[in-house]
Amino acid sequence: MEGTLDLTHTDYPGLRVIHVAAGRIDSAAAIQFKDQMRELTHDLDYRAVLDLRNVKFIDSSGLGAIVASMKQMPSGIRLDLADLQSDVARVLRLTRMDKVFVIHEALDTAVAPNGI
Amino acid sequence: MGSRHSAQFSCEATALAVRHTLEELTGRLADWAVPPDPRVELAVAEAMNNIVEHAYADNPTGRIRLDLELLPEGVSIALSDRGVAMPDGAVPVGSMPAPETLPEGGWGWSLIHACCDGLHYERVQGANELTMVFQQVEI
Repeated sequence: MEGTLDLTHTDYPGLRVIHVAAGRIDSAAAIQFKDQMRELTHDLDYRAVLDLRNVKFIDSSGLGAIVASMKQMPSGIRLDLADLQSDVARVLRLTRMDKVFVIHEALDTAVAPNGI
Repeated sequence: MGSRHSAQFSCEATALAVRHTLEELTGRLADWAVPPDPRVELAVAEAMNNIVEHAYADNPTGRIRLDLELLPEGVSIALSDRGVAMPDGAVPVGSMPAPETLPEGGWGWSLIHACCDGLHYERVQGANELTMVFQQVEI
């Protein structure tokens, strides 16, 4: 029933990058997104970065799922965002939720050894 | 754009059907060579999600109709449903939840207000009719 959403990941020393293949994180994808994020992060003991380069559209359900994913991270472990496309960045800005995430302009800077 | 365009879409009130209707809507606007305005898809998505989640909360068989009209100054989109009326019979003002509380929702109406240039709600013979107007913006 829900919209297909595939999350893949690449591990670097001390960092897991989670790639969103789908072009949308919307109401139809929100629950699946949160569940897959839990699977990919529940036992992490280092930082994760969500690679949003392919995502062209999020609505408030999608944003809520990203916030929920951050809140379900293991205690003390960060979830950052990277490579926001313009419409996604606009939603983060309008809701002022850009204040609560570390946002990397590009994945490269998130992956850099000292890209804190 | 010249000539006057209008179109009607109808879908069942589910999240997946809403996604398909949004894709049809943006596809049609592109066919009509309307300059892309990302505010349209966001506002219509939020309004349709509200219908699915609130107006039709207790009615899984509800339907939503979307009337699209090209105006000389922009785009008008009217959503109709036969779900429960808006509380207080009016469009909620909406206020952005405080970011530091790490909200997981509650942005919908604020986003709609931020994205539309005109917003009108009416309860007409057991139906909700919400009209959103988007003025052409220079991209």
